[in-house]
Amino acid sequence: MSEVPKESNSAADLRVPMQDVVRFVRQLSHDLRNHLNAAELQSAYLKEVAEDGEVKSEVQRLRGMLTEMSNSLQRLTVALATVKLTEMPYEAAAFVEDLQEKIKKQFPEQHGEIEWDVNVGHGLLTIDPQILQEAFLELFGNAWQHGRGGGRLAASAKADEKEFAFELREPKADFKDSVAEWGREPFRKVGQGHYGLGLHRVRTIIEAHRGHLIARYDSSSSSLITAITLPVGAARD
Amino acid sequence: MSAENRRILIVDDERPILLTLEALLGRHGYQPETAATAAYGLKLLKSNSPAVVLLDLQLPDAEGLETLDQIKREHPETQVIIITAHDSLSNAIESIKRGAYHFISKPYAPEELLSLIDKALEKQSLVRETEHLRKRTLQLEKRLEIAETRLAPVFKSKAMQEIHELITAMAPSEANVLITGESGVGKEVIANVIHSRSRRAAQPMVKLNCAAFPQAMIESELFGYVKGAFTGATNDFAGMIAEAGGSTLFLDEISEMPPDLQTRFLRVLQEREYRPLGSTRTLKADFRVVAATNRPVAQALAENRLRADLYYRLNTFQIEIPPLRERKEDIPPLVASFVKRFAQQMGKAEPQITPEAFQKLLDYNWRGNVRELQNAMEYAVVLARQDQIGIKELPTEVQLPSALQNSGGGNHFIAGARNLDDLEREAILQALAQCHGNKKKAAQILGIQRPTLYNKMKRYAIQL
Repeated sequence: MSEVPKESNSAADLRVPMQDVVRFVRQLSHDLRNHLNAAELQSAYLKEVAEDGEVKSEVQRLRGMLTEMSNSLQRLTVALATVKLTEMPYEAAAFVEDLQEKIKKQFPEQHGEIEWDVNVGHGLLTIDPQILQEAFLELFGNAWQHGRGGGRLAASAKADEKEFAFELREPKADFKDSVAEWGREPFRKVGQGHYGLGLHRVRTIIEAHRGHLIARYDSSSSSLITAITLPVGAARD
Repeated sequence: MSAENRRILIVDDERPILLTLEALLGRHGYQPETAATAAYGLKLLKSNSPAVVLLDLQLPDAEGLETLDQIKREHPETQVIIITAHDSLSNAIESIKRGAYHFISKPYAPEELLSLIDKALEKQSLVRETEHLRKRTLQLEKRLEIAETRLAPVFKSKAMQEIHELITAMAPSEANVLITGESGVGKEVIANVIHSRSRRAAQPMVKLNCAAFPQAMIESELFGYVKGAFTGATNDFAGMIAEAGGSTLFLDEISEMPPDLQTRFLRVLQEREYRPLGSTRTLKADFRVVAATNRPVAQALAENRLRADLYYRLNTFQIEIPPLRERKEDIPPLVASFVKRFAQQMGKAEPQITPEAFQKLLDYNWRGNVRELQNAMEYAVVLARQDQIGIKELPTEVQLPSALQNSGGGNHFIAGARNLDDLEREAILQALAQCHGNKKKAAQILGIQRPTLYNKMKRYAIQL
């Protein structure tokens, strides 16, 4: 009797390259968004033809739900998209100013909790201001969303002839996670409505700008410190 | 055709978005322009006419959907792409209902945006082309209407009604037709009607005005020639008989055709065959002939301008169009038709004709017939003021009193003047006509005192 080979098809045994996973998720997201868009349009049509007020209002709710689903998938697709920069010379001061304005608009309730320390002089960055701003906003959004401790956020931006340095210090009530691979592992923390892609996207954007992102937890002050550095001056290919 | 419009206007209050999009679009060959407020965006839209607008719905100085309404109202050709945040997708859908081309939610992939802009430009170009074609179609419809009006005879008189009935009866046949009448009575119009009601109407009628060509050229125009047939014949030319194959050949001023050529043409009519100049090949001729002459037929025959045998061949049906002065009932409908046509052509409102001016039109003798009336009405419509044609807007000769018109204003005496009184009366009328009724000047021309002129006018019952 020959020995029957042992089957090994458990999930733990599968080794799928990360880029294939990303490709799969993007394709799935794209297809689902197409279906959702069709469903959204159909429900818009239903609302138009419905004569009963209650039906109209229910269809409107349905449209809202579909839109939410579509939005989630859109965020997922964008988070996994390859970063393609449209770079241009941009004053560091203007970048910080834009960021402050955007935070005020996007986080109207919380923006007053930030203590800014800005001293960037006339440093000139070579960046895609829109995408880089998106990365910084993600950091601020995270700070308010996850395990917020007491006290204000501290954001400092400094620049000299070589480097633009940004540091975000956020008090954490209780922080046990390792920050050794901060932002390097997508899908690490997955929960309802959360796919663990935000920090991964931030890191990707910073590195596409030839910069660095480092995070560390300072237990003495119970603060998570995220530091970003970017080169100052013209881009070097 | 103008160069493709690749101007893209970006209206967004966020500097990073404005600058990134400006750089992105600039690198892809577009001509981006930016505005951080709705007000400045609308100003740029007015001055620079971009093909596409990228519009953020959340602007500091205006409600986005209202801005969209304004753009679509004032620049309907411009395509608008809405840039929107995640949480305002319902607004984006509302914007499509209000005429936006599409929407794109932030953050967007550059490829997605570029592809959308390309499609919007394509749509903009199609919209513009459709609009251009629509205008062109309207213009052509108007021209066609004018051309049809021009082709259709306008009449009310009994004489023209009889001609119309004759045409209705004989047009579908293959019979040759000879149209006679003074210059300007509308012989070509009648020829067109005969052709359009014939079985050959599918092909355009071919026209040859024998008076418009040197006699030596009529033959080659009519019969065609082969290369080398004569000096200057560098190519084959089919000729009008060939061109009229399956159609109608309209020979205007037939009595101006050289007599020997008339003989040759008669042979074509009899044998239905012809040979182009310089060719040895005999070709089949398949045309119906409608000829016209403004000379009285009897006179043309007597002077040998029209060969009798050709005349009898052409004269299966003869249509004699009476001069306009003998069918004044046709003047009102003709005037109405010309006024309408010229007003349309000039883009003016159709002017009304005052009763006095109308009476002048009826009284005038129209020696140039319908053509002269047509020219007079074009003149009047050009000069019409406040949508009205009065006497002053008519040509000077039409304004003259009827007594002076009859003199013709020329320097010749009317044939058949019977005695010295007739001659004197005629001389006075001519002088008055020459001076447009100014008696002082007329007296000077005649070499008499003004009171003498008054006396003579009274004597000869000349009233102005």
